[in-house]
Amino acid sequence: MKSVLLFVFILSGGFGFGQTAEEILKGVIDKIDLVEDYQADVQIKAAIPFIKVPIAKAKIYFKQKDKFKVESKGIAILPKQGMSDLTGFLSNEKKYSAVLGEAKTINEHKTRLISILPTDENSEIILAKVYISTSEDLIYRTVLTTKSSGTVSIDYEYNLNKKYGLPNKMTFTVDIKKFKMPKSVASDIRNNEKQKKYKDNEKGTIVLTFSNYLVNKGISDDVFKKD
Amino acid sequence: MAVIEVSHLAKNFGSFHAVKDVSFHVNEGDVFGFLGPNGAGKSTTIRCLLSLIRPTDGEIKFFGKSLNQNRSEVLTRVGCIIEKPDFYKYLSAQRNLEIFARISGKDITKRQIQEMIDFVGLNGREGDKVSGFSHGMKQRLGIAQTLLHNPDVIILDEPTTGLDPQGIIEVRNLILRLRDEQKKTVLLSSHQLSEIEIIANRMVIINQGKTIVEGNVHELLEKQSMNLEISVANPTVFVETIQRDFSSLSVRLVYQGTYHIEMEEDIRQPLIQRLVETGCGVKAVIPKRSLEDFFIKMTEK
Amino acid sequence: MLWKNTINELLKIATKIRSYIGIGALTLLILIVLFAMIADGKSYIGFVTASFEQTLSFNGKILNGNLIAFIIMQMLIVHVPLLISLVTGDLLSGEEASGTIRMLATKPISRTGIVLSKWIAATIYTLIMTVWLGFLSLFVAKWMFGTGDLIVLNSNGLLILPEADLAWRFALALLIAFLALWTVATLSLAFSAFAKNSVGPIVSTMSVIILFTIIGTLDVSVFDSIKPYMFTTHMAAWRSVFEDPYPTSAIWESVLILVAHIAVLLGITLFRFNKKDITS
Repeated sequence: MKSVLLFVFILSGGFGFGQTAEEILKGVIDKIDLVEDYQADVQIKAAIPFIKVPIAKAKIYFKQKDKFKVESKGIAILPKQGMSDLTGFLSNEKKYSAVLGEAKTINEHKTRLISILPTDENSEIILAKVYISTSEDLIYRTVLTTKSSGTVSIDYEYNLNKKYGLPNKMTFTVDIKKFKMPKSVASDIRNNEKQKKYKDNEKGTIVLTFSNYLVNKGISDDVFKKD
Repeated sequence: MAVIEVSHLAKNFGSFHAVKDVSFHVNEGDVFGFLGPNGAGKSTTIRCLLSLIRPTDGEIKFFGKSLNQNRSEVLTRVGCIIEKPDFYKYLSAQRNLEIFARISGKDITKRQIQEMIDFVGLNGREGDKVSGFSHGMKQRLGIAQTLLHNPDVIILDEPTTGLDPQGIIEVRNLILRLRDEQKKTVLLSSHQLSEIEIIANRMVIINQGKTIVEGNVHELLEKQSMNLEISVANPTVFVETIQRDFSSLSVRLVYQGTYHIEMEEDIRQPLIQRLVETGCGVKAVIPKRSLEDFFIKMTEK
Repeated sequence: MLWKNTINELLKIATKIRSYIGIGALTLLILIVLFAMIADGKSYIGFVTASFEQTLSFNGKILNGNLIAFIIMQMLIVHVPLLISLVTGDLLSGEEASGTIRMLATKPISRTGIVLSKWIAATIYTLIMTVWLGFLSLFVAKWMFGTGDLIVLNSNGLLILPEADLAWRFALALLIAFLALWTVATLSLAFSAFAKNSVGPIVSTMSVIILFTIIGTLDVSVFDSIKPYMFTTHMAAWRSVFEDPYPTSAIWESVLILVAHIAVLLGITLFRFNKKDITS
């Protein structure tokens, strides 16, 4: 969820072609800083190969600078990348270099691509492509390439909380490696007739729909303690 | 009235003919001896009577009704011990009797069970597991189980096998009490031929799966020659007397001074008198007519 | 007479030590699994989710009573038949071995009545074992680990079933598992009618289960035509209840095949015992 923040970071900056990549990013990061904390309800709808999961409901909590928590009664599946790590990554400007890229229209929003390259060789993120609307200081798409889990693409939609850069919908597209289950473990009786043929890598999508945002209302640190 | 009627009973186990042609009938109030050497088909016949074995041929009737068609009704009126009484060893004597009482076809109260335990002399041990019982105690419990539902017919297959002399006497007395006091009909198979001679009024002998003879025990014994075993002090005089005066008799030396003589009943008195007169020193005269002799004679035929 | 002898049979089962070996072993096995889950449940879950862990994060209580109940059921479906046949394989042959069959068969109860009462008693014992399995795996596991959504491992991947959707699934699964165990109980009773001691029926029952299971897992086309009719193929039918949507017709097919097995095996037992000459 921290990812949400990330976007918020990136929100700042206009759409001006005169701006440098750093300036655009700074605008976004400054906007993120408007949010001290927030909580929201989230509905998680996942369509992932090899996993069948019902729509889950959860509550998310964030508090500056890096406190983040998902609270769900049932089992909720979230993407590993793009939720929290990117936020931390972007907030440390010394750890990457930003390069201004092409202009692109995403869902009718004009954006500029900023490619972010980590300077640290050990960084999990190899490349982050962030599409920012400079007129709104909002991120509309992020494409993360990571060492271990391939590429994660995130699309954002905004509604009521545009001013904080908090999206009301995020659509994650993730790479899922082929799932191998030993036959002895999974002994369902009609394997043969049911088994679908999957490619080695499949795309899965996870759609998070946020509602009931409470921004800057104050959240106790106790909320983030592990239970 | 015939309580049990067996007609031309036959049972084959594959190509082996265990029972070929056995017929007999048991009347109400009889203590009926069922005799035969080992392998004669006794056990198979008795198992057929109790529907443990399905006959290949022939008919069995109890109380005038076919066993095959009235099995449950018949077995409600029959009590039995087959070879040895076996019980659920992990249960107490009382619990065993309760189990068999429940499926006896009659309503039997706990009090009746206790009375039966007292009757066979197991009071005080009724709560003990059968696994700790001696053979004699199991036999008593078997008798209790047999009598529990007050059957009209009691079938006992070798009931004294393995019992000590005291136990044998107890069982014999019990059968006589059942006959005399309760007017039960008893079918008794036994190797103790002397037992049969003492307590049975009728009998059948079977051999090689066939009926050899059936009838009243005493009438059958009357028909056979009376044998004597005579011990004398002077064997020479004895031999001379026999050769001179009773040359038609069959005489065989049993051991020094003791002779076995086969004869008809009417010869006995004049023979003994003559032997005393000739001074051969008669020391003992032992009648040797017995079911045992009869049994051997019949089954050797 | 049938019910009176059923009471007798239940009483015999209740007083025999071997009846408690099954329940005791089942309890011990489940307690061991529960202990293992307390000690190392997280790594077990890691094994389940490992394939996705680099891409996805699983939030919420994965290691809960429902998952453990499911794992226990899956593990024990192989072993419970042995524990059940320990008792049911002895029902007729044990009487033969101890000689009590003579006493029993000379009572006014019919041979059919004897077999049916033993079969009913076997059914009740199997039911008790199934309920005990369900109680220990569900209630005790839930008491120890709490409740939650259930992650099911299939060869196609993972299925997450919401907690609210589980009670009826477990009830139905236990019912179908009972049907499978009932088939095993009837099989061992059938073997029991052919034997003179209880070792034969128990070994035979397990041999049949092992043999059929091996045939079922062999990917050889010659067996394809008989596989759908082998009862072992349907012993895991309870698992289908944890699919979404659950395959109604396949479950019904399994139920029918198991019931048909029970009917045929009971018929064989009745035929054999009615024809049998008791010579022991």
